[in-house]
Amino acid sequence: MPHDVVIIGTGPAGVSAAWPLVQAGRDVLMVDASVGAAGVPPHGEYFDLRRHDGHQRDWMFGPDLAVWIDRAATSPKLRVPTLRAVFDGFAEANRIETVNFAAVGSLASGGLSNAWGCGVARYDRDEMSEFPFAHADLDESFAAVSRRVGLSGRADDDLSGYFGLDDWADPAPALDNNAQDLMRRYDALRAGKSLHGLRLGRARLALLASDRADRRACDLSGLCLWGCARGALYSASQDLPGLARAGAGFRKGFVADHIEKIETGWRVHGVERDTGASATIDARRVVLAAGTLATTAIAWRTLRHFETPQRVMSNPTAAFLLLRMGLPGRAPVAGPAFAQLSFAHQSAAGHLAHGALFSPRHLPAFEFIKHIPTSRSAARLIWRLLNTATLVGNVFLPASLTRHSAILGRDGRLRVTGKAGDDLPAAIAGIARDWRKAARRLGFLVMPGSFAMGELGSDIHYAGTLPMRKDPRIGETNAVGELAGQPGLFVADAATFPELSAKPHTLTMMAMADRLGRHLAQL
Amino acid sequence: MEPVKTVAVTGASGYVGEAVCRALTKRGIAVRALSRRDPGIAGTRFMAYDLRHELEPGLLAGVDAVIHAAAETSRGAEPDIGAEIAALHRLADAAEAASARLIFVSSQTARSDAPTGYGRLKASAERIVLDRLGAVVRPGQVYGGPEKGLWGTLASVAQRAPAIPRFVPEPRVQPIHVDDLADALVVLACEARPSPRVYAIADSRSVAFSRFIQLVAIRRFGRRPFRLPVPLAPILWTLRGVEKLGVRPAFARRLASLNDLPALDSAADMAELIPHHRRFPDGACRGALCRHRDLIREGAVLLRYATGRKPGRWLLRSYARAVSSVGEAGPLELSGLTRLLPRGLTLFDQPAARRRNGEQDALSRRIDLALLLGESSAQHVDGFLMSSHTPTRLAQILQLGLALPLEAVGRLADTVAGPWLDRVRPRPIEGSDHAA
Repeated sequence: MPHDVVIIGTGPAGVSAAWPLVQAGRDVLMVDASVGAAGVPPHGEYFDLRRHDGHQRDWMFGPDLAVWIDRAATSPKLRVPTLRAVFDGFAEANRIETVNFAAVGSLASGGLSNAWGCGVARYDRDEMSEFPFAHADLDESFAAVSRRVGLSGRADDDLSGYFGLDDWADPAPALDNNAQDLMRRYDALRAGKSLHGLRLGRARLALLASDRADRRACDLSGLCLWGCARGALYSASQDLPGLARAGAGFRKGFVADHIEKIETGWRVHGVERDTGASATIDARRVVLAAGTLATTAIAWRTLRHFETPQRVMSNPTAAFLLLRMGLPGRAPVAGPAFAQLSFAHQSAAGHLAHGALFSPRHLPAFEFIKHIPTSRSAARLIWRLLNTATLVGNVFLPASLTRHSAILGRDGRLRVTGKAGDDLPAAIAGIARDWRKAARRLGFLVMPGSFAMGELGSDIHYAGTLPMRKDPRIGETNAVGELAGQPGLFVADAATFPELSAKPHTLTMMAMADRLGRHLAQL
Repeated sequence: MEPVKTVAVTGASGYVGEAVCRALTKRGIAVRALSRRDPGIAGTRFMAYDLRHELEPGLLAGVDAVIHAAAETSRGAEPDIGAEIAALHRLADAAEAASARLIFVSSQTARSDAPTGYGRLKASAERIVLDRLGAVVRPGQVYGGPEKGLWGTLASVAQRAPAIPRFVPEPRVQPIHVDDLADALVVLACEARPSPRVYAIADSRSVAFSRFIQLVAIRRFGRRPFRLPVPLAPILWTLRGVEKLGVRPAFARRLASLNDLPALDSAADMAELIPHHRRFPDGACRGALCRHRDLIREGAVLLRYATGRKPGRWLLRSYARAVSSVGEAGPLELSGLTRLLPRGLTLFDQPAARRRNGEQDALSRRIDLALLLGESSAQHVDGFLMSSHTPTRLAQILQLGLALPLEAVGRLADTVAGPWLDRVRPRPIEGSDHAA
């Protein structure tokens, strides 16, 4: 018996598409490629564990210390042992190769949401102008998804409208001293105007501020990097038991390769990850939610879309360090490790960049020591003194500043090539310049040598390979995400985005997947 | 001078001879292994040689140097002096005929009035070699490597003896690792133009004999035998009394010989031939154990440098275990000064030095390893986080104040003498070439 709907991928998109279907009583099978158990995050408070846990190396760095020394350009998230199972094996299993591009994905249950920064925002009308449906069509879905995920960060600040989520968000947890200081001075200075193109506010996060039945509120454990043992940070994996109780079926360890049209609907061809044996799953409808790169590979193999280069979108990134003027050398105390503040930057050229500010003291010191231009021994002493007086920032820039492309070889391998747009370095330099001016007025200093550009693709915000159009051609999708010419074959993840803003896109993607789920439930 | 291509080694199956053969083959020099039985050393050509017999004609034809490490040992401390001297003459004649230089392995006991016949034999042999413009090497107390010869005897004492007699007054020895001795002989045979004189090859610092055995026991066998004080004078008196009765136990002569061992003034010769020799008890242990111990010692220096604090045993063991994860190479060759002052590594750890030496540079990677191990160890938390305890915090700030001038020196030294510092940069012992 074919299933009513098969959803490939159990990440945020797959789970969001599944809920309306399951609630409508449809026969849904959720498929992912996970094998084995997820890593166990540490329990306790970060600094307490640092001072007293005799086995902290096991969760902090893991047995393979060389990856910390060799892979300096990537996020430490990709290296922490507790999240290893989230990222392992993705590119090989999905047959993805890269040039000048970091292709990160997940085969795990819950997908990349096991390791995300939990930044949420709602794409506004302008950002969705290319999307072939009315902005208001997503209202219901945004409300449903936001309530399910559990948001916090509501505040009456300059970014309230920018995020567009305060109707569903709890108030923000307390800030640490540095962030408080920065915010206070910003409030005193700005008087309604932006500061050198910058607007600051509280970060809106998929973070619980009050307990729920199966998840507990954030207690400022400071362990966000390693995964939250309390479940305060949202992960799609937290939805899976509820979906199972509501009647969804699950199949693990299945790597989808391509899909074939059959009389009763569709047949998903793939392999069992642990044995390598071929396998198939039949369904009347199929929803691809494997993450943009994997979804693209599956869709293009299905469409036999060979040797045709296509655009891939992702947000270029940069990172910087703010040093608070004044006496450094305070002892670190427990506090938030998640993004505390967010900023939006409007450049003269009209680019909107988005960023967040964190406390770096909850990250391994080694991540900073290795960038300080002195001997390691002096760098350690310098960082020990300064780390409690700093905020670390990341910046995401719009995908329009990149020229990445992907191509499917006749061997079925997807090759992604990263390329920065000519205007990218200038765009980053512009943000750096404005931050330097603004920071001075806010009593901070942008650390010299900051604003280093991250590896292309390391943002992991891949999108736009199967874009939604009003009149989709082959290789594009319609307004709900159905692949043109392939009735019953849908795409629920960010592959359908016609444009990728710098703003965190996950929640918008989830809302669109929810809308797709509602659509399918009515068929 | 023609480069040396072929070297003959007598006593190739012996303790020193075998080490010399290996040192030569490692340098790509053709080796003629001369001994009674085939020592079976890879890369050497065996030729039968017996001290007591005439030489095979052509034995040394085409040879550039002869290292004479053979000795008739079956008679212990009282060798057949006549036979050995005759053998030496035969060998020296053949070497002269082949215009090969002759290097003779003598003994610290060599003295015309030595208590043992062995010492007296070596003294006469030395004179013959010097007369024929050969070079003489007087090694100190040779140790390390396979348990053969006198070293084999001492090692088995170190392994088994419940206690070690500690004679009062204490005889002292000057240790030399067998591979270092072999290197010195190879340098004399192949590189330096040796003058006809006596080279003293031994650590210039001496160690009490009982302590020597004890350190071997600790390093090699992981046991620590007790050193039992024994007054030497009454024993020697008694032995002298026994001698008057016409009996001279070999043991008595050896003891007497040990007691009046002449000190070797070796500093200049060591600096000339093998400046980077091991310091006893380095290398007194066996294979893998040796490597582990050396890594533990290296970890002590690097963790001290990276975290500012003396690491505990547990962390040192973690370091030794983790080193292989950042590269295959063996222990780093750290100078005595670096061991004494780990902070000195600042000189090699400047960002520019790291860039010049590349991402795979062993020292840079191991410093990073030490940092990671330190950071994830509760014992070293104060090295990475400011303390809430005010006096500790003030000390932490002071540490930075003291480190900055040293950092400035390091930066300056790197700017002025970076390439020179790269030459003396600590590198793994294995795979590094002593000659380079």
